[in-house]
Amino acid sequence: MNCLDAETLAAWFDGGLKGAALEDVRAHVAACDRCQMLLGAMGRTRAVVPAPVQERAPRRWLAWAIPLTAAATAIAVWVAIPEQRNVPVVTPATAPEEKREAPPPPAAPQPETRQETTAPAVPPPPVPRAQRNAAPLTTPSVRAAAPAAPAPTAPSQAPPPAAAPPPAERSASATFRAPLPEARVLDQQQRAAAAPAAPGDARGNDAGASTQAPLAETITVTGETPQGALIATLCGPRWRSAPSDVTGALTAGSSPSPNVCWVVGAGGAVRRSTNGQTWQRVPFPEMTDLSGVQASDARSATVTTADGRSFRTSDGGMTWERQ
Amino acid sequence: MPRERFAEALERSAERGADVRALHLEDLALACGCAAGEEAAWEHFIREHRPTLYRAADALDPSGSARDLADGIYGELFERSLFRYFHGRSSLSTWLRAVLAQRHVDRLRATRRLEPLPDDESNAAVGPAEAGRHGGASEAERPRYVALVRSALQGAVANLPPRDRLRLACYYAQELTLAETGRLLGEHEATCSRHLARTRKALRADIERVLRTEGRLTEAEIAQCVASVTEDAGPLDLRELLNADEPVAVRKKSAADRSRLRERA
Repeated sequence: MNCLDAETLAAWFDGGLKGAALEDVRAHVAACDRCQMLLGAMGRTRAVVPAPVQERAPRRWLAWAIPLTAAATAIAVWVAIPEQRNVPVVTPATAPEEKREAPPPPAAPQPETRQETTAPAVPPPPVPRAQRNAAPLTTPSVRAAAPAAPAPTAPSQAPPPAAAPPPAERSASATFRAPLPEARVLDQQQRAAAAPAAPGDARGNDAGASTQAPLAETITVTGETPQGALIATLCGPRWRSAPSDVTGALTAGSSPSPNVCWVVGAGGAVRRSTNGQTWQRVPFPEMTDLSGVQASDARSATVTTADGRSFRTSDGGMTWERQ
Repeated sequence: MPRERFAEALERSAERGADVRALHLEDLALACGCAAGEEAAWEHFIREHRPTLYRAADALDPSGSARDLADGIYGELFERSLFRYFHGRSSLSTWLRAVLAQRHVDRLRATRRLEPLPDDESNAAVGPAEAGRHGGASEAERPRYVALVRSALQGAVANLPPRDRLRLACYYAQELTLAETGRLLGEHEATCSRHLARTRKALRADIERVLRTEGRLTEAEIAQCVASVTEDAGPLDLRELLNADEPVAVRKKSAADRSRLRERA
């Protein structure tokens, strides 16, 4: 092959040679001093022309890869943290609301604590920080197959857990997890004022605003109370002490064994004692009045609402199924 | 521009084996227009490509002596005689650089034939103070070492496949970039770099083998010989060693070549 002419040399530099012609050129230049010098001269003049801009192929896969990755991450987080996804977030807006409703200093403070499960429309009373912090906090998981029905709201008694906002809406067939309620402690005067309003109170009647209490909170029995006689009537003469956190009316009780008793009342209040001495608050999925309870042991009970529906639990109130 | 003239240009390109789909058609049309004497085409060429021609001349020879070559090319273009050699297989600017490089190299080679070779004795005229500088080799041993390494290197390079030899020539002798070298050889610059490293290792092993067998040097002497030549390549000229067809002339290498050899050896 003869030495390269200028046109072939330029074509080689610009990628215009293909196949056998290209191989012939390479083989010749590998052994030709003059043609190698041409390469050197071309290299020295490279700066006079702008470097070719290599067009990058558009990364179309990024258009769907990014949202896909984000969705996968969200699903992974949702699956990996099941216990937290339904826990309401305490927003700063709720705290000032509590402060605005701060009652006057109690004239005769009592050690009792009171948990009020209300809709967000009604600001709850304030909670003393010391008592609120002293209460244990659990995150119950309650399943219900029935929609929440409107019912008067009655405050249920429980040691105050950490503050939590109202729950989300539930559909009629939804299975849901009960969110944490806001813990409230009222003095005797407040409870006295709240008790008459409970039956007709619309608080908590909204099916989408039902608030559930933590599961299995231990309630201190304060001894003989005005409701003690009612408990004795409902559960038997052995039972003289009432749950201290129930301020609403207790409507029914069932004692399947000497140390086990279930009582229910207004506003979805369900309490259970398994040792004959202390009461535990059992979360119920709806803020509706309860009219009856039939317990078979410490874990199984069937609760009837005032509007005739029945809910059954076989795990001590962790989950409820509509009958 | 008459269509017939452009069609003729396309036919000539096809005769050269060009892929019509890969032709630089705009530049080819411009060249056809200039060759046809169209004023607009010529004005465009002057505005876009004439500066490229003269910048390339300055890059080839910063002293300005290549400008007369550029003037000559521009004159031929103005007379329209040179445009018919452009077939569109490259851009017009690359073609202009190639024409200029061709004429520059041809003139350089013609000039070199008339220049006397450098005096080899000048390399031996080293004072006593220089003794012991070259990798521990004495001045008496150094010419022998250089001759041995030069002979071994020439044989090792001659044994390389043409593709490896071309890669060495492009990168080390002609100082093209890795990207340019790779593009000429049709490989990525990273691949080109790996091949170069492998070729260097092969050359080193081949040279040591020749020094051991033919030069009858011990391992210590081989190390001393290589260190001596690495420190100062002396009259070794890789550019000429890479061209087996050319008569090997002993010529002092440029400082850049020596430094590259030192780094890579």
